[in-house]
Parts: sequence; C-alpha cells; structure tokens
Amino acid sequence: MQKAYFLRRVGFLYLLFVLFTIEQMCYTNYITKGGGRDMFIEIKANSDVPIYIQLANQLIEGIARGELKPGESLPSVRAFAADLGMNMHTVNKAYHYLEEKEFIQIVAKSGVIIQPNKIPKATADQKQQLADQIRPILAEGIVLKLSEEEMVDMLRELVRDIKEGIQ
Amino acid sequence: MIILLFAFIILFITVLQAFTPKFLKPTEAFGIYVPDQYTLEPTIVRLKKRYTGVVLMSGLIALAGYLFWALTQNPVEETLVLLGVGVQFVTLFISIGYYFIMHVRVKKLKKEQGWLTGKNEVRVVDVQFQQKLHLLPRVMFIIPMIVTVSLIIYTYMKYPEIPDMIPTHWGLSGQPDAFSEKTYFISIALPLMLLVLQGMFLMMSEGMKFSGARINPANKKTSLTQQLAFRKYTSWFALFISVSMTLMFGYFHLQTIHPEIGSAWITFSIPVTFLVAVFLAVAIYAVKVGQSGSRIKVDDSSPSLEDKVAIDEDRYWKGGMFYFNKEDPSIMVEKRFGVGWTLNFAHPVSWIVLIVPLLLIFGITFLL
Repeated sequence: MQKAYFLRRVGFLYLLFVLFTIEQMCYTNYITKGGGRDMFIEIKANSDVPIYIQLANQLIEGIARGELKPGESLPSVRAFAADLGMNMHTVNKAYHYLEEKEFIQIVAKSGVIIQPNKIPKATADQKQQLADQIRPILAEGIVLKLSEEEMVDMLRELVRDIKEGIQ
Repeated sequence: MIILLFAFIILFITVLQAFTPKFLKPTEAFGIYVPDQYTLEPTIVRLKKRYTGVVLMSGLIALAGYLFWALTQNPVEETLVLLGVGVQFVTLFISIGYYFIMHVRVKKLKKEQGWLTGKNEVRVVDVQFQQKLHLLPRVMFIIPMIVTVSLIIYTYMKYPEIPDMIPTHWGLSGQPDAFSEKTYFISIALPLMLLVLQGMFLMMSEGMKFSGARINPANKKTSLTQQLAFRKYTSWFALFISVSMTLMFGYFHLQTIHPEIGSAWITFSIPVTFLVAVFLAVAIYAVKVGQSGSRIKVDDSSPSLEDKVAIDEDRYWKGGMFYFNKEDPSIMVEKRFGVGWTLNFAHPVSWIVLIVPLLLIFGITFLL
C-alpha cells in the first residue's frame, strides 16, 4: 500500500522534472550572461607567421588593450589546443614565449594567468631588443622610399589601432 | 498495440532522419563544410530538399508496407517485433546510403567550383570559452548513480525474500517471459547495467569540457553563443535521459524484489512513457536547439561576411561522419551530419570510452 503511494509520489516528481527540463530547453532566446565581453583570437592557417607567434602576438595585444587583465586566467594548454584543433605543442610554445617575457605566469597544476604584478616600464635592454626588431622593417621602409614622417604616422596609427582593437 | 508502438517508432525515426538537414548549421551540407557565401547555392538547397523527400518517402512506404503486412497477415508477436526492428534498420540504411550519395556530390561541387580558392582560412578562439561554459555540475549525474548503488544495497538486504526465479526479460504484454535462477550476481545485473549507462551519460556531459569549440569566423558572436547554449542543453538532455532511465529500470528492479507492486498495466505503461518522454526530449533537442545550437536565435549578432572562411576540416572527417584528427586533443566533437556528438577516433581515450561500456554490458548480459 505504501509502495503504491511512493510510486505515485515519484511519478509526480518525475513529471515536474520533465516539465522543468522542457522549459529549460525551450528557452531558445539564449542571452549571454556577463555583459558579453568577448576576447577573440584569430589564427590564419596559411600565413608565413608561425602559429605560436600569431597566438602570442594576439595575446600581447590583448594585454596591451587592457582586455586581458592582470591575474586573469587563460585557458589550459589542452583547452586552447582543442579550440584551435591544433597540437598542444604549439600552444605550449606560445605560452613559454610569453612566460619568458614575463607577461604571463604558468602556475603548476593551476593553469596560466596574465602577469598579476604590474609590468615595469621597459628596461634599457628590453628597449634595445624592441629596437633591434623594428630596425630591419624601417630599413625596408627607407628602401621603399617612405619618409620619416610617413613612418611616424604609420606608427601612430598602429598604436591607435592596437589600443582600439582594430585588426 | 505492438504494431502501434513500432509504427510510432518508425515514423519518428523517419521524420528525424529526413529533416536532419534542417537541424544543422547552414555551413554543413552532408558532411562537407560550405563557406557562408555558398550556403544558399541553389544546388545545395535542392540536394537538401531532395534528401528530405527521398528519405521521408521511403520511410513512409516502408512503414505502410509494415502496417499493411502486420494488419492483414496477423503474425506472431515474435515475427512482428523482428520485422519491426528490421524495418527500422532498412530506413536507417536507406538514409545513410543516400547521405553518402549526396556527400560525394557536394564534395565534387565544392572542388569544381573552388569554394576555398583564394580565401583566408582562419581559426577563431574565444579565450574565455571555458569560463563561459555552464554545464550541469557533475554531482547531478552522480545522484542517480547513488540511487542505483542504494538499490544494490537494498537488494542484498532483502536477498532472502527475493523469489528463487528472477525475471530477466519482459515481453511486450508487460509480463516476464524469461527467468534465471537467483544468484548474488544476477540479482543485481539490472542495476549494474544501469550504473554503466549512467556513467556513460556522465561522460557525455563532462566530455564536452574536452571538446574544442568551433567558432564561425563569419559570424563570431552568434556561433559562440549558440555553441555555449548547445553544450548547456546537451548537458540537460543527458541528465534527463539518465534520470528517466534510472526511474524505469529502478522500477523494474524493485518489481523483482517485491513482485506485488507491479501490475501488467504499470509494467506496460512505464516503458511507453519512457519512450514518449525520450522522443519529446530528442524532438526539442533537434528542432528547438539544433546541431551546434544553430536553431537558436541570438539577439545582438553582427554577421560580417568578410573574406574569411573557417579552416577546412573536411580531410579529418572520413566519409563526413567519422572524425579522425591526431593533432586535436579533443575527445568529443560535434557531429557533422546529425544532431549530437561523436568521438575523435584518433584519440586513444575515445576507444576506451567506446569499448569499455560495451564490454561491461555484454559481459553482464552473457553472465545472466
């Protein structure tokens, strides 16, 4: 006798569960929570630039733009590689590249985070390294008859684009 | 009554298969990736419509044939069931066969028209995808498993009271038609199988955390939102099936311990209710959610059809149905032609996930 009563109770609860699930799945106007801040990274498959460099560069731009905040966590190597559909080795290279520059921290067993401490202004050494990278590009510009002013304008525009997230 | 049941199942399967192209992303046609610029190509639209027509027609004809034969020949229950299942397989084979024909056609069309020539193949990743992913917590899937374990404990507590011959199979009339001698193992065979099934649904939900997202570069925000929603609803769907199964098998198992709680009517109506509930869930999943959430409308989407296409993964999809990509650490991936998930067969874990539950279930049934 009690068993029949118990069964009916269970049946009723199940009906509630069914209705609730249907209601959940019918909620098709899916609205993202959290105000929709999307940090998208785009990797070009057929580019001359190696994929790990593309990854690292875009993450650096994200930090430059303030979209990636200090202490914010980045996806694990596996999750990132899965989203890319590419080898974990590639993501690993990108992360180690950034870790060397001290822009991110790889915390063992915990994951990867953006550098939580304030990144200090470039040292003389770091400035020299950046200059070394820019030099060949400027040389090419000069050969292609770009004036100093044109190149300075280009620089200004690029800085603006980076800060505003224009590709 | 059996005829009605099988007719219902065959009809449902036929309709679901026939209208599959409608439940998919527009960028997918018979297992081939179609860049956004070409999704409305008249040939593609025509092929999809034709597929629906052919599969629907052949399924309905098979159904009509089955009904006619069943109602006029008055066959024995066993033959009825055998043929009912046979018809289901026939409709499946027809739909898969015709799918392959279409698959080859679209593949050729894509090559001939050079849909990818001169386009930049791009992969888009949302850095915060894992954080935005809201699946049901694991514990929700563990609760039905705890229920099953308590059933096992309860069975052993009541072991002496259980009749010496335990029913191991029920006929369509709701009455048991096969029995086994009571042993400690056989008395819990059903809950054990239930445990394996519950485990599989747990893996299905958790597995989505190990599945890479595929964001459409031509429509980033929309496809991102849809993917997140699809995973959330898949999680719900998996739990729904798991809970429904637990109740159904739980009831059957309790019936073996306390035969008095059963009645032929309940024993019949419970599986039917289960069938209807599952079909309802599948229908909502396919029609309202759609593959990759493609049928979900997203507000504030800004599609930008630039010169970018997604990276063409056609070469990893064998026959457009089986995903094989060594580089991809994903274990589960979204199906191409169909609503739901499939495995990355290049990943060893996929084979474990596939074979172990099969072995367990076969093992249990053999030992009965």
